[in-house]
Amino acid sequence: MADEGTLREAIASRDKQVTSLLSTPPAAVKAALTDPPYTSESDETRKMSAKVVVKALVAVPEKEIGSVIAGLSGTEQDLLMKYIYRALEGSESSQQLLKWHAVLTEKAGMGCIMRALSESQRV
Amino acid sequence: ELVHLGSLIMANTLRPYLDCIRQTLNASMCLRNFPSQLVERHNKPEVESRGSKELLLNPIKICRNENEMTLIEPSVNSIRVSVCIKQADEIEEILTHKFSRFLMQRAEQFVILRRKACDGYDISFLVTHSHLEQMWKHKLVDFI
Repeated sequence: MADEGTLREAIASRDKQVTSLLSTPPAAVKAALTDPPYTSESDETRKMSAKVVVKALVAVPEKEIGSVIAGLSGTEQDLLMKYIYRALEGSESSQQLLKWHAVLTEKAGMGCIMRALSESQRV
Repeated sequence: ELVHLGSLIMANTLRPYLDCIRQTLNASMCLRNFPSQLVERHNKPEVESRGSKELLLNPIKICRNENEMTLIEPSVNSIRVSVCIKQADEIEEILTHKFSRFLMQRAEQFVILRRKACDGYDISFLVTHSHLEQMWKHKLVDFI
């Protein structure tokens, strides 16, 4: 069980990586989706992690959302759906997140949402 | 409907919010009959009794902004949907309150309406597997 400290350091380093990759959106999204904090006990850590992902998602222009999602593997798409729902609990960037949700559902289908609902590994 | 009245100006931003809710509801309304594991010969909506953790799925909250959100709590045999409606000022607050009280007092007629809204929300629906056996799923989702 990694403790909160190591998890938060991992998130901070992921944050830096995403910031440096913001010019190439697909790479930034992939980097943000690595190493999800499944074992975290604290809500704060999970919120930090979601913020990193939102930062990467918001940087992608609307027309490219489809192609970025097409470039993700199945597991990454599931993870992205979980992150979208986690980020939708806050009220920032909801417009863009809802857009991502619509495109992701179209590409990944109902199964993706079902897995986000039923998997015990919550992001 | 109050939601639509209040957001006529922002109609194009309401659409993605409703679409997201619709897709999530479609996915989570996969319900089946599941008799209670704790009490013999009882059949309760698990989302209300919350007896066994393994029967409850992850709750999902979809926020459009601080005032408008939808909470969807799925489980194996029932799903609870709670909605927070936007209230811009005191008059809208009173209107929402009266309207939802009117609806909730007639909850029996609506079948899937919950008599009391959950904490922090304006109105709540409870859909169980028996409702899904009698009614079409896509019609239920449209109604909500």
